[in-house]
Amino acid sequence: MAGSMRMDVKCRVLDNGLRVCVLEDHSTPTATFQVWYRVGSRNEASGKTGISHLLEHMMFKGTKKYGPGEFSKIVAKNGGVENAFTSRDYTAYFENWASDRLSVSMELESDRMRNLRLDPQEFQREKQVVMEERRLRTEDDPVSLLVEEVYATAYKVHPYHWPVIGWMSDVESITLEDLRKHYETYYTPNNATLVVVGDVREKEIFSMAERHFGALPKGREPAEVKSEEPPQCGEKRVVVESPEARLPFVMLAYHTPSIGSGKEYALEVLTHIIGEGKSSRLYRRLVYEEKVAVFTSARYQRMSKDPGLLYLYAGAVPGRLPKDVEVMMREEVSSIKAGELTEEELRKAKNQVKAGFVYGLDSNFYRAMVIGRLETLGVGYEYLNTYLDRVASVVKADVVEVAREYLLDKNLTVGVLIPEGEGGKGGGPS
Amino acid sequence: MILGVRQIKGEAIPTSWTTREGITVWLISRHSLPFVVLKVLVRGGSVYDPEEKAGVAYLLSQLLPEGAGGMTGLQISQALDYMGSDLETSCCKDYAAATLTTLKEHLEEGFKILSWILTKPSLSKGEFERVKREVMGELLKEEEDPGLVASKAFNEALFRGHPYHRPEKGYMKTVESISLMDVKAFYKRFYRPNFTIFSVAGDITKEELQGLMDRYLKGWEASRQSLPPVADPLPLEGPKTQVLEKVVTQANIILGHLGVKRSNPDFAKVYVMNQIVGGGGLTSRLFRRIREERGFSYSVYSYFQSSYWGGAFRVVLQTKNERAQEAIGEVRKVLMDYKDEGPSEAELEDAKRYLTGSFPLRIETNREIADYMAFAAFHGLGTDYFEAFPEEIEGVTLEDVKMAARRYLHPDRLLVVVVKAPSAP
Repeated sequence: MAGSMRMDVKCRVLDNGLRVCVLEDHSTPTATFQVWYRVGSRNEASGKTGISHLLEHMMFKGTKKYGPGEFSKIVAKNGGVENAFTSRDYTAYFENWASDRLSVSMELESDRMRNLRLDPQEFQREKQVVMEERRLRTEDDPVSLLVEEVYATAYKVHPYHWPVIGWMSDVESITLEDLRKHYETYYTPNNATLVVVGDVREKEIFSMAERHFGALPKGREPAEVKSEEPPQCGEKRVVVESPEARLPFVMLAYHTPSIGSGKEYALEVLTHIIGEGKSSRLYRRLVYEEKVAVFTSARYQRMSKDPGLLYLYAGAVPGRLPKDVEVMMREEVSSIKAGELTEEELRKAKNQVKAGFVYGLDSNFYRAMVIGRLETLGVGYEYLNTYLDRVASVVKADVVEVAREYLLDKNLTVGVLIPEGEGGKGGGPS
Repeated sequence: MILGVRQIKGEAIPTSWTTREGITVWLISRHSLPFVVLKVLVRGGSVYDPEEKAGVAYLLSQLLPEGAGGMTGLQISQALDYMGSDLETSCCKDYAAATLTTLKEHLEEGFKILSWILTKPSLSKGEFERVKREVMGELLKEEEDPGLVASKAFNEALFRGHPYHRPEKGYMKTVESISLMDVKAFYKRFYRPNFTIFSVAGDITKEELQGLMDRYLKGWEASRQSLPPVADPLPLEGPKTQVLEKVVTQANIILGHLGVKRSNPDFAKVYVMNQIVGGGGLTSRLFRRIREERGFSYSVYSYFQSSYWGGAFRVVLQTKNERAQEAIGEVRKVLMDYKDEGPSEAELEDAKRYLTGSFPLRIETNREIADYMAFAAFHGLGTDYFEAFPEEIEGVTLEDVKMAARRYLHPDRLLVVVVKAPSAP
């Protein structure tokens, strides 16, 4: 089946360095248009954290040609859905609509790649909006607060140390001049990739891209991020006591290599064995058998430019101590490192990866997302065409090996969320 | 500029039939990817919970996959995980749902398990006790989320005296008091083929689906009783404000009043009317005033939640504690101005274009198609819904929207719920 999942993507690079990738799919008369910039919180500096995300917000605040909010109005009245997102490694903008609207995307996106009008008043207001976003997503959500702490603890050197939305005081103090510099440095054709998926003809897209983006001047290559997280030399632990937390929550996070390392296939399988589905190691042991947790899961940040984290988490049943939960999670990790792993578990994990991959192909938007991420991370869309075969070829020894190599105590950050007032009940080292 | 795409070509028309057992089936076959989504709705939502046993419908929905047809819960999970299939069960006020996503190659095995949890659940004592404790854990966890706390308080006040006032998951106390017998009684009353909808999208033909249903659902006994009717909710007598305290940096605010049922013939008019004042996209009046002009909130929107037995209009926003009052005042003003003057011709045209153009974009994946079909089937909207609804929107006039605003928008009678920090003004 892997063979039939090939994506026939066509990419071309314009003279100014803009990369354009197209995937034709004529099943519905719709298309997604996405612009991916190679800039995220990874490219930020201490004191200016959150600037990439703030700039993403300002991208909706008008250019010399189109006033504030006009972009969104034009998209809406053409029946389109638009938005944008910022991550650690990239910032992307998209419009989904009827495929005959793509020239509007080309016009609007090429305009705001170059001609953003950074208005001081709009900027002051938008800062307030972003601060409200931070309150909504992080400050008032105990689990988000913990996750933020875990990253800040696991990374001390690398910019993955800070959250994408930035620290509150940085968001508050960033200036319009900072923003302009960030925009000029990173919003250039040679630092971007266009991805179009849907009912289009690749030739037409290439020539439209040439017409709309071709005249934009090539920018200087932005400086490389040189920070490297040094090897961790002992277990770290961070506790968040929150008056609004009701259930204890435990997170184990290990530094792991990401996509392109060659280790990611075995790590993906390992993650599924540990935490994907109700028959996974964690759920089976903590929920079905020991009844200490309400939910469990594991995630691996494969799609990360620099080494990311593989993390396990669980929410304790009321009245159970985080310590008990943590001990069992660690026992499951140890068991896999000891080679206690069945062929059935391996097969099951690989089947899950394959099925998840197929389900993920079911929309123009998702496919463009995958292509955009692969291109932006520097791996290239071709990665997709070998991915399932590489996962299929993972053997038991590979899984045990990556577990032994990376799921080490000295490579681990433990995060514990405790309802305030229960601090004496097991947040400490176990 | 002219209007873009309106429909999803020929695949947009579902095939629908009723089985011998009385199951309503809706199907859209799409063979581009080798997988299928099957969504089953059972007309047994929390609206039918006994008041003192609130949470029984939800608890049952969570217990169903934990053992059926002689398999234990763990065996079911193992079988599904091994196939890379995904089964989730849920329950809202109007119905319970089970959704299976499976590769085509495992369709038969997946269907068998799905049919067993519907027709032969074990409902065992041991699993019941475990799931009950987990639900109580979920209830505790929900208290962490100020938006959810506000939403629950809003429903309690707006729907007092009506079953919709209760949260789907019930309350700590009522869940505690639920017995396995309560769960079994609920199952027996509502999990019947003639109260059930199968909504299926993906790589499967009508013959294949009917074959599976014949093999695995034969003998599922229909109910001879009809579903209990539920009275209409009563409007509040006047405006009302309720403040809840929580240690938060941001006030979570919900304003609103009763709305319309999905069966209301004015639904499309109300839908367009809401789009202009607070609907999707980044262009509504509330979005422009509250976020763009004032910078008060990251997220602000309004919607008419139109359920089977009643509906509600809500405006939802969050702003830092000390700004709550000012933000509420702004929202009121936007609503009042809108009700007074109505939309402009241009606003109406833009809203209609957005709604008709973006409609097919929201029904792209097998999952989305199965969800929309299940919704349409549940509300009796007809298999031409995917084409008829955009056409209905197209036909809404300026006069319709003004009428809808006059009749269904009541900024003078708002229920306002605020969850904020104790010290905030």
